[in-house]
Amino acid sequence: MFVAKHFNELTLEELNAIYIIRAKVFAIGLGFGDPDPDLADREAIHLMHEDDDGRILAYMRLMDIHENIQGTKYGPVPDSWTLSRVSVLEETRGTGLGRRLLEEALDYIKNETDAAYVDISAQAYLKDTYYKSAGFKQISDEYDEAGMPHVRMIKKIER
Amino acid sequence: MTKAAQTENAQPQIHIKTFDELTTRELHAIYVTRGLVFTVGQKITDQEVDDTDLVCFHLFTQNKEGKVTAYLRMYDLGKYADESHEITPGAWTIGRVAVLDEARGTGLGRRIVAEAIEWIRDNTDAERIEISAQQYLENSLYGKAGFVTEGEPYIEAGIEHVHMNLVLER
Repeated sequence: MFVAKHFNELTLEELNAIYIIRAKVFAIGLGFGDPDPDLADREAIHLMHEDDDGRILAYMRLMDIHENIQGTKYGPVPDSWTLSRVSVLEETRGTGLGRRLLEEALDYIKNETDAAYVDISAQAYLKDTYYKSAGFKQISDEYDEAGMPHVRMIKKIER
Repeated sequence: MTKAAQTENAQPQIHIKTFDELTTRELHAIYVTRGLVFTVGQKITDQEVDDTDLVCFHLFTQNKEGKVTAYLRMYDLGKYADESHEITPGAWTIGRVAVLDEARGTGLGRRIVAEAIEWIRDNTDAERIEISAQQYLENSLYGKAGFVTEGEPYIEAGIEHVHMNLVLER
């Protein structure tokens, strides 16, 4: 089941499990060499799919970026939230869990925030198969981020 | 030296807590520092955060802003194996020894290792402490604390390590 919690609501076990899945996907899977646990985590909503044993199989964090998040490159972008650290365990790929995670994230932003836009720096290889099909539009050329090609994408929230 | 200057130079307090005794903010600060030292600083792409964290003792210092400036973790090898040790009754280990760049050169690394040895001696039945140590610290950090090298260097997480051992005099 999907759970969305602000950093302040996380249990210690959840914080540990979140960094384990992010490491599996980013540091190990993609060779992501930038700081992964960072100060932005303190401001974020952590969205995770936990199985019955408390294992996190899919995860992402959502953040309000209308102001700059201190110590990070996120924001300020008015009326916008962002998603990042999208992590889906290899073993669940092909089950649609990743897509459901994104739908949950967009539902959360629509129902729990006033955001007009979701504004993301997306890994380029996912721009069509993952984000475009969820309604995101590419608004930049490819650029390098953390050693990987990214594009900026935006989705307008229908209200 | 004036009193104010004495306070400035005062040694940071060392905290030792089980996983469950940590606050979420402390655990987060620990993970940020470990990530900066190991994943970013040493470019290690192995699993940094792991479930051993749930069962070990965490030793750390923090600066005024809550940043973790030095850290290590300790656990009972009689109960928990890891990538360098099988279950070894009578032995404890220390690992993830990290000192933030900004705190280096202040003797903090030596201080936390000494504190860990004392804590293990006073609070456990351990007969010895066995570690898988990064080789570049063999003499300067661990040798000076009394650890003795055993065997040849080997690669762990892409970095040269050596097995070292400290017998606890009781």
